[in-house]
Amino acid sequence: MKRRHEHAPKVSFLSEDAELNDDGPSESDSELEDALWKGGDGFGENDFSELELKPDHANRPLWVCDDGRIFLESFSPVYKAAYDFLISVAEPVCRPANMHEYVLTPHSLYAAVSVGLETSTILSVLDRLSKTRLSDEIHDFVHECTENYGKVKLVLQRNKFYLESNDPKILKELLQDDVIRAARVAGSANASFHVSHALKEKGAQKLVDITEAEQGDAMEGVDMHSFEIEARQVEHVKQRCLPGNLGYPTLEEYDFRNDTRNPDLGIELKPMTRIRPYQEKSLSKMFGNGRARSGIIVLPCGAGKSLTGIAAAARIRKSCLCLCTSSVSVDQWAAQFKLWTNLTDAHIVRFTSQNKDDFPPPDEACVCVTTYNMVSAGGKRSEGSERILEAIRSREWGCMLLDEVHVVPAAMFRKVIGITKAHCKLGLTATLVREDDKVDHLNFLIGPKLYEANWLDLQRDGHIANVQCVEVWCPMTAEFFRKYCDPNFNNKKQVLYCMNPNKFMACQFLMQFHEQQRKDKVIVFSDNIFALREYATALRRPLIYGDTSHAERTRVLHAFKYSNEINTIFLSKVGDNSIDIPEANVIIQISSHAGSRRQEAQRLGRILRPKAAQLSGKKTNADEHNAFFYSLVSTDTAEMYYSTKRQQFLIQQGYAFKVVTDLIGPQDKPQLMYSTQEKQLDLLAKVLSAGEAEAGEEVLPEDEDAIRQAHKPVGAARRTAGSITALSGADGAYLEFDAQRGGAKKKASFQRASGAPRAVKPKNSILRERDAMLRGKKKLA
Amino acid sequence: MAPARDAATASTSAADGAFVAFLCALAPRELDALYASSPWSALAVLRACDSIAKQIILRLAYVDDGADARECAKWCGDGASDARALERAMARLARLRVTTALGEGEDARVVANEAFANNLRRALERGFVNLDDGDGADAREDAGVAAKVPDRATLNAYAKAKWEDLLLTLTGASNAFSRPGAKVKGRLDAQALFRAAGLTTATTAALKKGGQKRLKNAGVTAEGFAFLLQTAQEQIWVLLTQYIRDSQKTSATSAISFLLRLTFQEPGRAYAMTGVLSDTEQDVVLDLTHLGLLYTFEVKKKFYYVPTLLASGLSGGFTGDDGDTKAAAAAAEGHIIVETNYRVYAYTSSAVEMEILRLFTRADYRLPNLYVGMLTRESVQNALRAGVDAEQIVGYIRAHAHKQVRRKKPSVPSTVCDQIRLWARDMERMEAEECVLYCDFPQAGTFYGAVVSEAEKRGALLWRDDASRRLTVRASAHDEMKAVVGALKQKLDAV
Repeated sequence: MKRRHEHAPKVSFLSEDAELNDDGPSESDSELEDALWKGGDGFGENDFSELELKPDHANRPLWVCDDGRIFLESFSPVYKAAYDFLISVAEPVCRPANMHEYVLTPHSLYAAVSVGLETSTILSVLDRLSKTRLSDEIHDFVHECTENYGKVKLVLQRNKFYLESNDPKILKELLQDDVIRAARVAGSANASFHVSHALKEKGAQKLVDITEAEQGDAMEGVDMHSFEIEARQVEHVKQRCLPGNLGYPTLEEYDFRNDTRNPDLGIELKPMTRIRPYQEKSLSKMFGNGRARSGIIVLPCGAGKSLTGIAAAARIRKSCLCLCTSSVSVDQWAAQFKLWTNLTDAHIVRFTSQNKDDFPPPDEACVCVTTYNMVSAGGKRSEGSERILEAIRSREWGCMLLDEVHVVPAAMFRKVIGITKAHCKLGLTATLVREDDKVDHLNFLIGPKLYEANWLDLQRDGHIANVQCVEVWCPMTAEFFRKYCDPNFNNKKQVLYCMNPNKFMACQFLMQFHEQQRKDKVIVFSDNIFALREYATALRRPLIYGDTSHAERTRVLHAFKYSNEINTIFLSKVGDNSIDIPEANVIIQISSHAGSRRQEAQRLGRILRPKAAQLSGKKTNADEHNAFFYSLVSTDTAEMYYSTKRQQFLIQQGYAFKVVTDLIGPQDKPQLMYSTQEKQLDLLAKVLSAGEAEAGEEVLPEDEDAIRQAHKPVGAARRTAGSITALSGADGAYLEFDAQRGGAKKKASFQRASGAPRAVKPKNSILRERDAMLRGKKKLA
Repeated sequence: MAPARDAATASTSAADGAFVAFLCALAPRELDALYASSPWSALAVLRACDSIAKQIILRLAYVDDGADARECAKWCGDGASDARALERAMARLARLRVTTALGEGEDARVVANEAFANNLRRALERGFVNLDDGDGADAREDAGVAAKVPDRATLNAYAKAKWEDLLLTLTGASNAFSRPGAKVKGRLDAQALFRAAGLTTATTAALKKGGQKRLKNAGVTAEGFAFLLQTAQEQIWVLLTQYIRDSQKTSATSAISFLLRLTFQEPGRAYAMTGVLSDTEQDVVLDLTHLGLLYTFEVKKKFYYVPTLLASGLSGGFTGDDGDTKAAAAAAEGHIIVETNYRVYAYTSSAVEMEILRLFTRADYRLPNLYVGMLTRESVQNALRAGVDAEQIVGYIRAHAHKQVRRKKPSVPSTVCDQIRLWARDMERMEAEECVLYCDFPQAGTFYGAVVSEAEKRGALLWRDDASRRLTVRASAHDEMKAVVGALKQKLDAV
């Protein structure tokens, strides 16, 4: 507790002018340690053996340590209830099969309060579930963190803003402040507060019910006191309320049922649409009190994030703005809307550099699907774009869906949120980890985390595929390793371990095994373009990377999905996020982006979509794997270190990586390529003669290029490097760009978008570098 | 204590179990004396044998002049594995001096040890009752005595607490045993016993006086760490072996004989001591009480002892490959859950269990009834360096798996076990070998090539660099190579 007190309960509430350091990824990739992995030597201050054990402790599922750490037995009969409660008050640290760990943090408690849990409820439920008596430290900590949170709400009702609280004293206290008094709508001055009857928190109540015999429905609802404030002053009022000023951070809620000014959207879920229990649970947190609150929902890839978002939009039934990371996913979201709801193209507006659908008249509600970049890009925009942007700006959005929130930097969010007027913001993501630890910002830009599903539970219930994760150790051949250790080839290290002949053979072996023996669909991932090209060419399989044209991509993906001829495709990191290939069930990863935990999780997500057998309701054996994730690692190279680091996130979710040291038996070896020393030496020569730029990791140019292109005169044949990448979803996907290439590249693509002065320059350094490279290639040719 | 004998004990115990290993380590004369002393020894040996060996003993016990070796071969199945099992059983019996092979080839015969056969027959014929010459050993009739016998749970708790204290003394975390008589009156010096058994080094005691409590500094040897991960039964035998070696030669046999008799006595029942047991035996009782194997009390100036569960596990059964130990382990209440993320949760408040876990895990949290640790590369390799081997760690966490994970197969995630082994393998990747560098060969000529091929032929070549004309040769082959090189040189010079 001592340690925590130093920081707690300081929550970094971001004010609008707070310094945000989103220039690029934090360099200290390796310094960011997992809470679990930095452990003490000996118990030291983690010795809580003095805590008093309750006599009936065997029946209770958890321990609460003084430092906020919670251990939960997942085999307890009340596990499900305890899980739902814990996930709303604490941050999960790891959730393997038998024992989960959580930690109480100021953020998590803030989230708990904002979904309607009160301080006393949090403590009493915790106490009821705990095997030990809660210590005073925990009591103090929870009190300190929750005292002022959630007491004041900023409610948008009938298009008027109200500050609302169930305790009139707090409102009076707030009115002592000049700013707030000035913001109060004149005319109502000195008058008493509006008193309204609010619905009881249903979502939160459910959490408590399961552990407690209800004390009767005495509290059917609560009286809420409120006063109106001027719309123009909302930002100032919010600012005044932050800790450090008045210390009552406001929760934003949208009373959509009573919103009469904005037109309703005639959106209905199709009758065949089934909402799964965990999706229902996350929605119930969002709509707990009959209003819509902003926040983030965390569900694994393939577990139906889009349906959750669409269901939320369908409940609000107002105009909906959906922001994605790439134009490919814009198409996918639009298709999802059409799939699950009765909406047609007439009501779905797509806004990308290729698609600029027209908006319906302003008095008609609609769904708009676009990318973050399209909305936030600065500089001069094409006429069409400008028109649509204006439409987006002028509309009042009932709900805003933010896809893959983890990839977008805070500065960009602020820009987007500043441009658009949305009552309720729902962030969706699978992996709330960022190597740069910027996740906390999301808490206050969008809202608290509303729900986070447990991967293993979903897997057990058949909502996501049962994946076998395997790390294949491929020893470096002597020749490759000698060059790897040679300081003269420092810049070739990566390509050397990617092109390790043993790795190549492992890849070929696995690919053939899955194609022929199991009739699987295989994706091979490589961040290294040289390796990707070499592998794909040698194995005669199609590949997709940044420079692949849109038409080519579509063709290859279509063939992969529907043809029996093509069972393997090679993807660069453009395939990490958005390409939706539900058919694939095997991933072979030959090179990856350093130690990115998120990339590992995202890639795994490509094959997590439940497989046909699971969906048809066939009871599959719980231990039977139906998807495979292979990570090929060259031993004794930097890859070993990276791979351990990359796996952390998944391991904490309960995945186990099986290490295979001898994949290829001697009898298989002769059939594989590069099995003879002669061929290996040829390969080595090829690797060493490859250009430096060529041999590096894929560098994807920036997205706004596509936007600029959009207002170039159409028709003239042009070939701009990387214009297609805007479609790929690759851009901005990994802001923690590789450390090896240093500074210039680290400038995240969104920086200029956020309106930094640098934007005046027509092309940035990366593009120049790239052009130079292309010119060089041409010369060679 | 001859270290050679320790090594022998250790090497056989893997296959034979602690008890058989112990007997094998006794001198032939002592063994013969032991078999002659009482039927209990014969029965204990019989019990400790696997089924084939049991069959052989029982058959041979009734043929005075032994059986034809080829006849013996027919006593079990025809398969190759059966033949191997038979061979193993025969070898074990021979080591135990229960049987002796006479003659060779056609005349080969197997004969049972006479004293052993006599005692075994006696036990079988009497139906296992009244095997002792004295009477009144069983004192349960006495109401006053019965009242004093603790109930099973108390007795178990007593034995467990005693044993844990003992182990903690070993690790240096407790001093219950370092001051003799502090807790229980007894003359047994546990520290001396540990030292003699090679589990701790002589400096331990000195360190302890300085208040040194940390495990790492306690002077526990590699054997000591390995010892901690063994089952209680194995631990008892290691200590008793040492105990018996320490006692005078004359009393050793009778002490063993008494120990073996103990193993057939029922835990939780009182047996009279005063007036029944010899002085040596009474001393043994006192020492065993000190270790927690027995519980003693006094009624009307007469002493009685009650064997605890620890004592009953003494001779166990055959531990090689039949179900006995596995069944015992399954029955035991496990406390460890190992997760796929290398977290180790142990439901325990026992100091010794925590000390053992700290051997190979990084201790992170301690709660009233839970230990939370982490298997890290560092922690495991520390343990490996301290002398524990990977299989022992894996075996320990498997044997103590919590009932919750025991239901699943495997009870410990296979990825974790593999990783522990990989960590162990990691430490063995580097191998040092003494070698001699041969250099300064003439730049031209075939001399270098000839030396290389000679070295290669002898398997002595470790490394060569043709560019600089250098090679290294195994040091052990250096003398031989010297001669070869000399001869080659002469030959070349001659040309």
